[in-house]
Amino acid sequence: MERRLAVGRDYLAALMRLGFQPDAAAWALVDSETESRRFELAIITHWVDTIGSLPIYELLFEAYRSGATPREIDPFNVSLFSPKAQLADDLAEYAAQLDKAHDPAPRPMGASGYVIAPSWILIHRPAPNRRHDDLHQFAAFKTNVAQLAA
Amino acid sequence: MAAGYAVEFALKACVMRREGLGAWPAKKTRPELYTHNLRELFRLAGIELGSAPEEVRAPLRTVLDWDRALEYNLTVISPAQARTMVAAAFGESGVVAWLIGL
Repeated sequence: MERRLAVGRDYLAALMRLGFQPDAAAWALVDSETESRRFELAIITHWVDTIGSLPIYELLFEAYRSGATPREIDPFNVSLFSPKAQLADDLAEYAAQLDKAHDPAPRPMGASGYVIAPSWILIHRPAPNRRHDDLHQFAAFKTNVAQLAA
Repeated sequence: MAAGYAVEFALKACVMRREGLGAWPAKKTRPELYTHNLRELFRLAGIELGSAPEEVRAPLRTVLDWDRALEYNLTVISPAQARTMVAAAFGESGVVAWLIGL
């Protein structure tokens, strides 16, 4: 898990260098009851509401293809969530309890089916939703990723 | 969020084609097929996510976020997100067109 956490931090740092500042991010164990059980890097971003997730995923794949993000994290294992999603609320509540967390064991986040441990939370800094800034910042992210492929 | 259902049904058609089924099996004989989990359905249909052409990968990743439980969630999905989900499912490089062409 230590390796996964380190790679997750590297991935997020790479995104931030390109201009994508997630509101929150955490590793989560998903579909743990099925054969599709896997770890996903869950990213909370208000861009999901203002831009939509498809254009963001397009840039995540492009950044991955260009080698600007770590090879260990295929974008198929990255999930984008709106701050309005239940997972975002659950994560915020969990993060607020981190200082006094007595139980470091992974636990399910509400009804989302995502299982997260306190130490798996990599970023948590809810940001205000400002549509004008979002469009401007997303355009900068898009330009930076496009320059990688050029 | 009918876009998610369209992908679910396209995948179930892929399962039928793969197994040569003329009708959808009863739940008591094939309980594993009674799922709305798209990743599970891709696995059951024998389709690797990584086999998707480059132009379909982002749409595919987008539709995988669809969850039937969204229907029961009172949180409103933004217009931008709804538009991209529809584009991911039904666009020219969308997932439904890709699945039909396999």
